[in-house]
Amino acid sequence: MSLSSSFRDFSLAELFQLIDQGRKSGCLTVCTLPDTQATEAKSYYYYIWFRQGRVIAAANRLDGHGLVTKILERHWLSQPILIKLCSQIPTETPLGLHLKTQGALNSEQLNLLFAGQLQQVRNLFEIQKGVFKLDCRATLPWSEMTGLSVGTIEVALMALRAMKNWQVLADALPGESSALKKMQNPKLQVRLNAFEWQVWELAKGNIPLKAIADQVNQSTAKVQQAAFRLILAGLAEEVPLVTSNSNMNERVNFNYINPYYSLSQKSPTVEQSKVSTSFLQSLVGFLRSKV
Amino acid sequence: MEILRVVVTGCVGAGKTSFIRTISEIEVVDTDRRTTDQAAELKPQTTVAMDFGRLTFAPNQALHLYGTPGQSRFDFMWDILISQADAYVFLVNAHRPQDFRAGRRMLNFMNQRAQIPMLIGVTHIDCPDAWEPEDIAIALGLQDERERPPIIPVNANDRASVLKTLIALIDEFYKNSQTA
Repeated sequence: MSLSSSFRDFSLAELFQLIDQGRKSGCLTVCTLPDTQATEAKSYYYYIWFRQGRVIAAANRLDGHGLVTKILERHWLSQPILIKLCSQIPTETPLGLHLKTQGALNSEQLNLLFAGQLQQVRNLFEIQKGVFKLDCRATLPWSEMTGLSVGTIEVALMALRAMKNWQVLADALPGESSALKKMQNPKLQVRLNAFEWQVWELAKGNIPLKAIADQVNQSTAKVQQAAFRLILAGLAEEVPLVTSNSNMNERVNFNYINPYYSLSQKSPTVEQSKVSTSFLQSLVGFLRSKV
Repeated sequence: MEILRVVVTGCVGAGKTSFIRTISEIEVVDTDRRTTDQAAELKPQTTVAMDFGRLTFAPNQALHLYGTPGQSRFDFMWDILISQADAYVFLVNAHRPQDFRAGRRMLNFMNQRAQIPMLIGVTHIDCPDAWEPEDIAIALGLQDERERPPIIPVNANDRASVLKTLIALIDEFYKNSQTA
């Protein structure tokens, strides 16, 4: 199964939420589309691997030499030793973990390698134009794996907190006149910063984001961005607030809308219909007979 | 006259009008106008107020179907129609991920105004780039599997498929009335 679209239609942040909540495994290919105005128009490819909704590796190449190259660039191991160690790697073992077991690299070095991979991922959130494809049948990239992993939504939150240009997410942000409502049984699996906590405390389902901005003394845009992060983390949901339409609704009799409604039957007030069990049984019987 | 009022809602081009036309015993009363915004790429005409269709199954018993506009600028019509519905079908086009964000907002809007039996009908599931129903559910903000409404594939132009969808909706309605 694969899943594809463009970032214009479905942002990387929303995609990460889907991968996290759907506990997806596979390889996400991201292709940046060149700026047509630029003199050197070029596309770039990036690959992110997931296992059960967690990021396990990232690279800008598919030949499996990304991690090895990084180790050599840092002069942590010589090429002959690395080649020898790589030849001894047991099947289905992350390269980083193997090197640590052999005493060739320590935990701190593995952390740094993995942080480097995550930095590449975070940079992708700034992409304005690009397409993606998630291949859920992709095999695990053992030679690119450090053996470390991190929750996909944590990566997304870190990237969004550092994001400078929110243009690509402008349509995804909750509206300033919408409210934010806490999810009923939120699973707090991520660490929130102080500002996100402040916004979450005010997620009562009836305070517009612009009013929250006034209360916390921040710009509405900052509150919208924090609200978006809370939504991504599965902690809150955007709630459109009731507008003046509700007054309009009171004036409209549903039965007037029905052009086949007999005028003799119309009532001044609309009542929600009470549908009997026999009615439902009769309707289902009728529908089944027509299938 | 005993009537069950079902609202058919969802994003632009998801198949709401087709759904009602496929099943209605009368010529559907529509309020289609020429599309003037981005949706014009998708279809030349769009619903601006509502569609109405009917299915009479006994002398004094009928199913009324109301289709909403898909565009958010007509959300006053969503409000009017959903607040007096008995149940609703939310249609989403499986191969248009660009609509999922708007779909999520629309679904939140509906849930905010009416806690009534509903189901998600996924259309265009046979298209090459169609997303899986499970992925669409998450994209629509339906995170908790246990609390999700039924999600079923629908061909809005196929009578049997529309009938099956309505049967599934009535099942939901029945379950709901049993637990209420």
